Amino acid sequence: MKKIATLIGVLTVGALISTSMFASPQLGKRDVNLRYGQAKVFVEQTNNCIGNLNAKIVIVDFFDYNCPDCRAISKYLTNLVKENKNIKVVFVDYPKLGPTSTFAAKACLAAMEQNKYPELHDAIINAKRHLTDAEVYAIAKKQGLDVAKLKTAVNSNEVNGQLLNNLVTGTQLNIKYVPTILMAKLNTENKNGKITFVAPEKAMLILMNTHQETKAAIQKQIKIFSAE
Amino acid sequence: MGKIKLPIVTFFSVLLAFMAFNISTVAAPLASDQAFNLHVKRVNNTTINANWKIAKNFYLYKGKISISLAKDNGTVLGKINYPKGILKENQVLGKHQVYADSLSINIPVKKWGKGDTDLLVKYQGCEGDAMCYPPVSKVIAVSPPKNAPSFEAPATDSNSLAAPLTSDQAFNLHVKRINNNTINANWKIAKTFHLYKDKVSISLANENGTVLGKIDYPKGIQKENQLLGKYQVYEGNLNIKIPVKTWGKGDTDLLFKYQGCKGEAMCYPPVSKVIAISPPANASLIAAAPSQADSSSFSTPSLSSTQSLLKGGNMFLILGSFFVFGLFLSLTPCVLPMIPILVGLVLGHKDIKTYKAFLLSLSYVLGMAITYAVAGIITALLGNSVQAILQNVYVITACSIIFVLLALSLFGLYELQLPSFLTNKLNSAANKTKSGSYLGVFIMGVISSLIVSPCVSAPLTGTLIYIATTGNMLLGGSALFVLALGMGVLLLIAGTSGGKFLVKAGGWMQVVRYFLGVVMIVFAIWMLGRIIPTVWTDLLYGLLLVGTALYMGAIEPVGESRWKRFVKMIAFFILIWGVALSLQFFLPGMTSSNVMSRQGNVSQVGTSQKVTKAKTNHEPGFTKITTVQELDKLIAKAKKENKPVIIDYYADWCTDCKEMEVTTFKDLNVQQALKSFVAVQADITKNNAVSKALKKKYKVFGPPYFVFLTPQGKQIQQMSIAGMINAKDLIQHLNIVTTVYGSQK
Repeated sequence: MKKIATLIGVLTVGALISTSMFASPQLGKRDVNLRYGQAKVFVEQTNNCIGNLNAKIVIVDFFDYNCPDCRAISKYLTNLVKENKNIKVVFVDYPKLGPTSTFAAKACLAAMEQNKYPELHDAIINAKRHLTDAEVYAIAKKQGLDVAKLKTAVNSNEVNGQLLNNLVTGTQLNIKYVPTILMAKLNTENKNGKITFVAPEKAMLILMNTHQETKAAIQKQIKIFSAE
Repeated sequence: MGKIKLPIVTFFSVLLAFMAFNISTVAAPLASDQAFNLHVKRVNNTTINANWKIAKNFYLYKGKISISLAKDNGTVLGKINYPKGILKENQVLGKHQVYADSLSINIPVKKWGKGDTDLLVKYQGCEGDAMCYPPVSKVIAVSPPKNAPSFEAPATDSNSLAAPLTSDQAFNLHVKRINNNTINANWKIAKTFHLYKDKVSISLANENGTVLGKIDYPKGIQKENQLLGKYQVYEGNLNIKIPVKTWGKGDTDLLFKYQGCKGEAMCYPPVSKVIAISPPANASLIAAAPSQADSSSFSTPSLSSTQSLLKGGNMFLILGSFFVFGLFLSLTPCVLPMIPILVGLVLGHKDIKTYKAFLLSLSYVLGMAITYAVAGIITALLGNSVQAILQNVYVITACSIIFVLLALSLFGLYELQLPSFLTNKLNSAANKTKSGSYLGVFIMGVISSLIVSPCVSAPLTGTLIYIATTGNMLLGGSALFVLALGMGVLLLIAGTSGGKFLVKAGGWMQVVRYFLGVVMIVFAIWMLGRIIPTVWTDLLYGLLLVGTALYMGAIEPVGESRWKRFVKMIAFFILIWGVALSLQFFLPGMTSSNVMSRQGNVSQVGTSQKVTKAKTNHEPGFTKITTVQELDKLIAKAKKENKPVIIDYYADWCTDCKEMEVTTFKDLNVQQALKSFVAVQADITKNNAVSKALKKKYKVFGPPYFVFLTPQGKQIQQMSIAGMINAKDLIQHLNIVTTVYGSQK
């Protein structure tokens, strides 16, 4: 019996060693702490925000300008910060739906230079017409932006870099769909907090189609955070 | 190193303060106003100045100073910037800042109210660390300027009430030549302001023959935010020395570019300044140094996590992390094969004791660790790819042969073993002790670490690039030493317990030895895989498996006992596995294995000439290049077509590259995504100057490595990929790049 046990042991170890020798290193594996760090990067953002910038409850909205549910959620969040003064909303441009989405996102990021991100964001996400480049510039002009300045900034390295960082960090957080909502409760005293996905990964697909469910989930999480 | 200096400085300053305190206690205590003499006056239309003259050995606590309006008369104060104090630390207060000698605070006034403005000034201080004065509150009346009852300071900054500083006030630049071959540039950066490290650049404004040396931009303060990712900033005082190799004719015009911000909110536009520097009277000519390769990053330097750890953290944190890192590395397929080698070596000695086994294992691990440390130092010295040398055909072949020889001795074919051979030689040379075998094991540690190091190259890349670029030999050497020690922990345990365990055991030890022999041959074939086609290694694996199965009795009559039947079952399975692998060699295209489609023609003809021909077009859609000139042409093409560029660093001896050819790059979605790119395969198989230049261009350490460029040809640093990547992750990566750079107008 002892011999059998030994032999099985040897064979198991052998199999493990030989398979592990050919196994490729696992890429893209992330732990919770790393995710927390990435999420925090968005939560601490200040330029693309509405609401109370010092609020402890932070809602991060990953959106695309051409996604109907993103529009609904954006409107909802804009009204939410008017009612509830304890909330900060961070808009994260996360274009997934083609070149017009990307262009609109770049235009808004470029508007940060003129301190007009929230204004342009609101105007574009509520736009009634197809978001061609010309339409985006027309909206920007209406919002009082310096369009010439905007045009040079749109493809600047800074704007490209910002968008790239949004996409890279979002991807690291495994955000695949828009809208995706990330919520955080900050403890301002020690700057640590609690960060949760309102939409768990499994539910993201469903939530993408029903913004009502997303809204309900946001409300539920606000209640939990407020009660803490 | 700065972090280490700080406590020392603090210690001495506290010591000095303590000594001073002992002397001053002899005198009678000063009155509060004598100790902290406050004067407040209006200096201009928009500023009130509060000045404290602080007596010797006295301190004011920064945290206890506050200035506010005593009563509301309509005056509006701006944001008051309290200067940075001296950092102190004690047990009661923890870290705190204090002011000594004198303190001057400017109080910006946005709007003057009616009549005199009453300011409430609060402060508290101590003498030395011992005697503290009670807090002082003073109300001081300040008269408004004559012509400004309703004066309002211009406020362009919505985030700060204070009038913004001009760019020159915020970033005060002074440039001067300090000696014959150095120009010094100094920025005095106002409080709460910072300059971005990567936005600071110094170059020649026009050609007058002056040649500048490489400018070392000092390490900044590491920061991270969503917009910029990881980046470095300078605060306070920035000093940059500009080495001048050759002085040109007349004055040298230097172009200074910099950009900075106030806090996170208000950024100043980039500043470009041309400053003329007169040459020294006796300007001597020195040969110009080769110019640096251009690897400008578009927004912020995004370092790999290892690199940033090395740049930011302190020594202990770095070494600790590397130890843990090594521990994890030992669980990878790179280090696991070393375990049988070590146990095999220990097994080579009969009547082994636990402590001896431990010491032998330790010598082995130390051999490994020292090799790594030396490799780190050499890399720092050469700044070159050591990996490529180790992946030389002859080195690999030699190592494979050593492994086969070791395996054969484990099979019992002969008793000659490398360590005992060394033992005999050294024993006769030195003395009768067994120290020689320690040396033998030590040398084996050295050799085996050389062999497996290419395999762990991907995780080591960050470290080695850093060492190569900084030339910090101490840090590089010690980091790699500790890394190897971490890798050795498992080996140490296995070696020690294995030796003890195996010697106590009986006849089955023979089975273990055979098994270890098989593992060693597997390792030998695996290494050969870098230099011979996959079909050949498959054949070798097949032969090995068939041989093993036959020795295990796969086709012998079944004995009585059940466990023998079980062994036969396993053996039979191994036999089938071996036959299947061998069949791939003899019948290419029969199996679905994609290895066939790639190199089937090689096995059919089997000449080395064909092997060379088969190298072309490994990865569909990629244009293969071997020189920087060819690469530059393709970058120019990308610019014309407005497409981003992906550069895949590849080598024939890189097994991961080969694996990706048949996995990642076979994926149709990857091929589709690559259509938006100018895809370049940089072949660095030959370790010559040309391929070195290719690697150096983007600071690539070794394949597989992917570099991304914008359509304008600038490297997108945070998108670089070191090591293998699967199709899913690569597609994500490619899509991000095309989203941002694919549709530029």
